[in-house]
Amino acid sequence: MGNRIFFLLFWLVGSIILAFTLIPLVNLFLTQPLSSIVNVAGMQDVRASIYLSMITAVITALLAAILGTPLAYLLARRSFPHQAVIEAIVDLPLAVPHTVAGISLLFIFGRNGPIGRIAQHFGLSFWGSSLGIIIGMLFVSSPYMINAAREGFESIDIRLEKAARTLGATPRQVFLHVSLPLSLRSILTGIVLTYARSIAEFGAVIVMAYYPQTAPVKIYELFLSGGIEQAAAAAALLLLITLSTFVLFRYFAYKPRLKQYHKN
Amino acid sequence: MPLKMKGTVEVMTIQVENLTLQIGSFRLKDISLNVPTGKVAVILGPSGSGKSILLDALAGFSRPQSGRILLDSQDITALPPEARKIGFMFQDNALFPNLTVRENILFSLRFRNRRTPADDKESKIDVGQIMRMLHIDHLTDRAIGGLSGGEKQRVALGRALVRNPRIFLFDEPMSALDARAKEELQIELSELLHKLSLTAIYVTHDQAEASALGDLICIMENGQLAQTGTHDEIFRHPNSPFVAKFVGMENLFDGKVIELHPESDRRSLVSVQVIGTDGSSTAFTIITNQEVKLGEQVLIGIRPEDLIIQPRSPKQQFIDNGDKIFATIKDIVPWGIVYRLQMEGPFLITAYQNHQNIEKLNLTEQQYVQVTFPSTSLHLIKKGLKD
Repeated sequence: MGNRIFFLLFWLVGSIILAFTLIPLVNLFLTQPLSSIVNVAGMQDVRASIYLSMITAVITALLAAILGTPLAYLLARRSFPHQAVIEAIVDLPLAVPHTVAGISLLFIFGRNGPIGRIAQHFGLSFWGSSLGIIIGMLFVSSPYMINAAREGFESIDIRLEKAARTLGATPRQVFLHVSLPLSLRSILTGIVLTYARSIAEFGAVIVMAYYPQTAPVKIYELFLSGGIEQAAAAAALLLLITLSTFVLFRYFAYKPRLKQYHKN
Repeated sequence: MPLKMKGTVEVMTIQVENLTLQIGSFRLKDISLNVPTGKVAVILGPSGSGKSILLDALAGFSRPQSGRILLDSQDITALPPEARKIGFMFQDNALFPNLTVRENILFSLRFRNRRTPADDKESKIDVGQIMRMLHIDHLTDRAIGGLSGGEKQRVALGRALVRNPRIFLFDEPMSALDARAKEELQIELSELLHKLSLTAIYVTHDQAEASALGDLICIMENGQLAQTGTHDEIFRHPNSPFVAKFVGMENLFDGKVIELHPESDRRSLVSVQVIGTDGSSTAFTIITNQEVKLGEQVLIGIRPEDLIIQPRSPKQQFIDNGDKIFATIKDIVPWGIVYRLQMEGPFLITAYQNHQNIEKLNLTEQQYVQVTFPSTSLHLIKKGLKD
């Protein structure tokens, strides 16, 4: 009996945190008159900002996968000196306030930063551009990518990789034919998380690029200028679009794996 | 020691010469082992004795500090695993869960052209035939997750066979199977190994498996090969107290050589005196080919299933003479398919008897019995040979 009450408490506490997440978001939807959402959706600059957010977040997620997967594999499968330090560096962006991240990035990628100046020679600018938005998003979301992929590689039974070696695969082929396919789901999860984190980013992005405006920046501007009603309507619209893409990506990320296991 | 039949020179597929390997605090010490082509060598030892570490070294996953490994006379000590052409069977099959049965079996073909473009042997591999032989041809498009343990190991075996390896390494491949699947696969594997004349090194801690599969059995103790020999040599003539205990020679008695009569053919007739716990003295006569000295402390060993037990009345007076001892049964417990009897005489004796014998002789606890030690089953073990 004591056990039942104990775990009933777990359900209760679990419901509290779920409700805490869900109620404000659902409430935001329900309290916005449909007419004002339609109204906001008709605004050219709001639509452009949501579109920009999605595009930059997708690019960031793919970039994070390309840059993060090799490090994730090394962390999972090789042992090297100062590994713990490197793991801490990977997690560092989680602990840095995002405005601070934006300012630090500006010093490197900004007009007078070392990389910013080199980029200018090629006609590229990280400041006030989509490129800058991507840089800001990448900085704050990379831990999600690397950790998800690392956990994926770690979860592969080492004997599968050994078996592949005895079947004639070189270490490079083992990675391409065994490790990568088997951790694909984790990598996709990492991509989805990175996308979600990127689309939500405000602090680092607003420092790097106020213009062009991403959706969170646009909503903030509407909040300052037009008041809470318009901002809330735009927020509801953004929520609708980002959540539906997030759910859709998640579904596709998990689906291939599920199909394989339920073939029979 | 290489296994040699008189008058024939056997071709060695794998030769391990003085292999020494340190992993953490564990050390493989000076391992030498030759496996003739078409033979199966079983490495038998308790867990933690280094069996799997040895297999890993043979497969190329760890580099020895010294010693050589020759495969078909080619020194492969420095080759990576993928270049050794070995088949490796893992404890838990290690099939790729994201691939179908067919994709698993064909896995090695993805890599074969690059390194050895014109290997005739390889191109002759008939995948369909392998699958039929292993009775997995009906599973072709199935996912791995839906297979039984025995089916998985067959697929794993097929996957390794497709590569046409020069030698097979088995790392306790049956340990995760239930008793029935294990028995079935063991019989099949034994037939298959002989039918295809495969050369193999098979690691296990299961003596029944070792007996069923091994042409050659090597007992591993703490990183060393304690004894290598045929089934009979290992189980009937262990060369050290460790091997004797490990292979189930439970009766080991301390004794002293009191008579020594050399016979022809390097053999000698030896009398060994064993002093009982009650101070009585029993002399055993053994024929041995081991070199012993008069007065040397030795061990006498006999397997529990080799003892002959007959009920006797305690009122009758018998004299212990040589191969007979009188004792009281202290305990009878079921022991797998037999019964285990603990008896107390001048010293403690353990015997196995089948159910039929227990019934026929009406053996019960507290019964007085005569225990006969057939002289052909007695075995002399030198002490401290390994120390």
